[in-house]
Amino acid sequence: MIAAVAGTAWRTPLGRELRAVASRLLAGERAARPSPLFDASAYRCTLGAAIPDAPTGGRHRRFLDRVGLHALEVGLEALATAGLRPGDPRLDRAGLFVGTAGPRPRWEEMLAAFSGARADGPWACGLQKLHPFWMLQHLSNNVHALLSMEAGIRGEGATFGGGIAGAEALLAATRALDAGALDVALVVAYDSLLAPEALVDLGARGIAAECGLDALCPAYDEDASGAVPGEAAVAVVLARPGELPGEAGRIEVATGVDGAPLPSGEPRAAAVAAIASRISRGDRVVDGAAWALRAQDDDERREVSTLVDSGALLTTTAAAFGKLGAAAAVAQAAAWIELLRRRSIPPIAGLRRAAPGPLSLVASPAGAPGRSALLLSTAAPGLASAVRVEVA
Amino acid sequence: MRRAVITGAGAVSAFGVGLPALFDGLAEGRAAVGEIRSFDASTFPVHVAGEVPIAAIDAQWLAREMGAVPGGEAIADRAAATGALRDRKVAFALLAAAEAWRSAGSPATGPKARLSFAVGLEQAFFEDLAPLWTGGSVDWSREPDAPLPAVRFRSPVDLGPRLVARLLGLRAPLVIHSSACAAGALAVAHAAALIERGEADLVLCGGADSMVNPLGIGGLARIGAPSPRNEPDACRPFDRRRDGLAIGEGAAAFVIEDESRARSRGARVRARVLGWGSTQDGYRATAPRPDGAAARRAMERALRRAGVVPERVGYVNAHGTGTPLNDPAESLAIRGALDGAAVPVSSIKGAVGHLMSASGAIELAACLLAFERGLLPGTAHHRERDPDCPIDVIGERPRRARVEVVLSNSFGFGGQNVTVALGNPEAAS
Repeated sequence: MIAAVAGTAWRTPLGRELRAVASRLLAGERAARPSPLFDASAYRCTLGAAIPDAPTGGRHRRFLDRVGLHALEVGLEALATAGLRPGDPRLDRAGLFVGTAGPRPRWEEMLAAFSGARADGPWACGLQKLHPFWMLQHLSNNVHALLSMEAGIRGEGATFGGGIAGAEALLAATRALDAGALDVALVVAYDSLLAPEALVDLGARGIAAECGLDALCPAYDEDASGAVPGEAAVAVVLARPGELPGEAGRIEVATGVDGAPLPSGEPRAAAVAAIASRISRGDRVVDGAAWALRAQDDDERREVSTLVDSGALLTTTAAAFGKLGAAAAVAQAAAWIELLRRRSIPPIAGLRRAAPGPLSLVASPAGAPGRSALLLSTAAPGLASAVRVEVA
Repeated sequence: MRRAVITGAGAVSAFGVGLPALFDGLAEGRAAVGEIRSFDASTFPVHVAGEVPIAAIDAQWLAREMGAVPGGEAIADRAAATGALRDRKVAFALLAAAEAWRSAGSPATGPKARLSFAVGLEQAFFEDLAPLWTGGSVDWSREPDAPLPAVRFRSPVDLGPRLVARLLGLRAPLVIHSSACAAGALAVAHAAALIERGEADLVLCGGADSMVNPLGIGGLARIGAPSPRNEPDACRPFDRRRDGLAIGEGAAAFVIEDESRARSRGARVRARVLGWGSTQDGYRATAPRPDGAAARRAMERALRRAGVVPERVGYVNAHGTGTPLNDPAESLAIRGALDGAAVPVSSIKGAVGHLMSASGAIELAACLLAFERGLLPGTAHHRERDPDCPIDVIGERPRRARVEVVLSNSFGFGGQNVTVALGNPEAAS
C-alpha cells in the first residue's frame, strides 16, 4: 500500500518551517541542550531537545497540553499546505489518524491537589483542587476530537497509542485509502519525552545519554553515548497516488514487534531489519534506528546492510532531532521527502569518530544517490517501524 | 472472500469475572452499580460505580481466575512483581483475553496472529506520588532509588496488551487504540479489517479500562459527567429523568478469525462481524451533535459495509450513556439510519456503568446474548419514556427475540462515532 504525501507541517526541536529545518539538518545542527524545560540536574539524563516555539494555543489551551496544542496547529497547517481549508467539501471524505504514545499526566498540575490532601485518609480534599477539565486534558483522543472539529473532518479515524503510534497511524491511513474508505487522510503524530517520568523511564532502561553536551556523541560514532530525549508534532496529508495536486512524494509503511526484545525493551536489530525487509527495495539511503549505543548500532548496520544496496549511505535524523518517541516515523517521512526533493543527504549531526562497519556513514552533506530512502525507528516493548519514502 | 467471525469471547464486568456472569446478569435484568468498595470513596462527590466485585487483585487470584492458560501463573507473577496489578485494567485485560482464548478452543498462533486492543486513560495513581511528596513539591530525583513496585508513576499505555500478547504468544504487531469511549469498538473493527484483508489469520481484540480509583473517580467527578445522585440507579439511559452516567470498569475480549479457517478447525462461530463504520462529529469537544447526523452516518456506513438493509436489523445496542445530551441525539441517529423503523434499542450502561475505553467491547459482548440465548438485553433503570428519545427502548427486563443483525454504537469524546454490525451465525449470510 503506497500513499502520496500532499501536505506537511511540523514542530521539531530544530524549528517549525519545513525548508528551514531541512537546511539545518543538512548543516549538521543538533538540537540537544541541557534540559530545556525543567531542572533535570538530578537525573541520569540531563539533556533534551525541545521544540523551541510555544504554541499559539487559543481557545483550546484548556483541553490540551503544550505538545497537544502543537499537534492541533500542525494538523491544520498540513491541510492548508495540501490546499484543504476547513469547510472544503473534500473533507467529508477525509479521515483523521492520530498517533501519540499516551497521555502523560502533568504532575505539576496535581501539586495543588497534593497540597490539600490529607495524610490520614482519601485524597478528596486535594482532588477537589484539580481543574474541572483536568481529566479532559488527559483523554487520549483530545487532539483528535479538537482537530476534527476545527478542520471539519467527518470521515473515518482513530487514535493510536504506544511507542510507534505515529507509524500505526500512517499505516491505518494508507489502509483506509487503499480500501477506498477515504479520499484524503490527515495523519498527526506527537510526543514529548521531555517529562520527568519519561526521563526516569529512559534512564532506567539505559538508553538515554548520561553525559554532558560536550561529550555527546551520536549513533554510529565510536563513542556513541545514548539517545537524547526529544519531542515533535508532525502532520502529513495523504491521498491515493495521483489524486491530489501538489504531491510531494510517496510513502509505504511497515510495523512490527520483536517477541524477544533486548533488556532495555528495544527490539533486536534483526527484528527491525525483518520488518524493514517488507518494504525495502534496494534503497541507497537509510535513516537508521540509531540507538547511539555502540553494540546495537553495530548490529543494526550489519542487519540492515543485507537489505539495501551495498553502497548505501547511512545517516540519522535522530542525531539532530533527538529521540522523538511516537512522532518519529512521521517526522522522518516529512523530513526525507523534503531532503530527497533537494537531492541531499544530511550528515550524522555531531559525528566525531565514525565507527567501522557496513554501510557508508554520512559525515558531511552529500548528494542523494537515489530518489528513495528507508527510515527506521524503534520503541519499547520491541516495537519497530519502517517507512519507505520516494520522490519523483 | 474472507469473512471475519468471532470464535471466542471473554468479559469482566460489574457482574463478575466471565462472560457467563455478564450474560446471567443481563438475562435476569439485574443491575450491578453500587457503592465503591475497592477504596474509601465516602468523601468523594461520586461514590457509586459499576465496580468489578473484587476487593484486591493478587497474582494467585489472577492465575486461578485465568484458568488453564499455559504460562498464566508466570504472567500473573510477573504482573504482580512489577506492580502492574495495581492498575485494575491490566488484570481485567488478562482475564478477558484468557477466557476468549479458551472459549475459542485455544487456537494455535502463527506469525500472523495479532492483537488489537483498546486501553483507557494512561493511569496514574495519586498514592504513588505520596512517597515523593515533600515540602510542597514532588522530588523526582528520588525515583530511581524508590523501591519498586511501591512507587510506580505511570502505567504505559500498552502495559495490559503487552502482557496479553506475552500470555498468548502473539508475536505480530499489537495495535493500541486509544480513541476514548470509541476505542473498544474501533479495536474490534480494526481486527475484522485485518482478517478481511488477509493481513492476519487470527486477532485477539477488545478493550479494558478502569477509572475506579481516586484519581479516575475524582477527575471524572470534577468534569461533572457522572450522575450527581449516588444511587444504584445513577445511570438511567433514555429515561426522562436521566441526569448523568455511572462510571464502570471491566474488559471484553474476542478472538476473531476468518470464517473458513474457523470452520476448518471446528471452532464454534459465535457471530459474524459484518461491517463497521466510523465518523466524526466535528462539532464540539464536550457535546455531541444534537441532530445525531454524524452518528447516523456511522450506522449507515456500517450497514453499507455489511451489505445489510435496515429492515434486517433486529436490535441496536446503544451507546446510551444516560446523559441529557447523548440519548436524544443518538435516538435521532438511530431513527434516521433505520428509516424510522421501531427496532428494539437498549443500553447496558445502567447495569454495568460506562466502561469508557472498554465500553464498545463489553457492549459487543452483550450483543452475543441475542445470538446465544435469544435475549435482547434490557435497559436498567429505564422507567419513564422520554419524548425526546422516540425509539423503542427495551425496559428493565430483557426481551426475547430471534434477530439476524445487531448494531452496536460507541461514541467517544469529541464526537468520534463507531458502529459495528454483528450477524447471527445461524442466519443465512
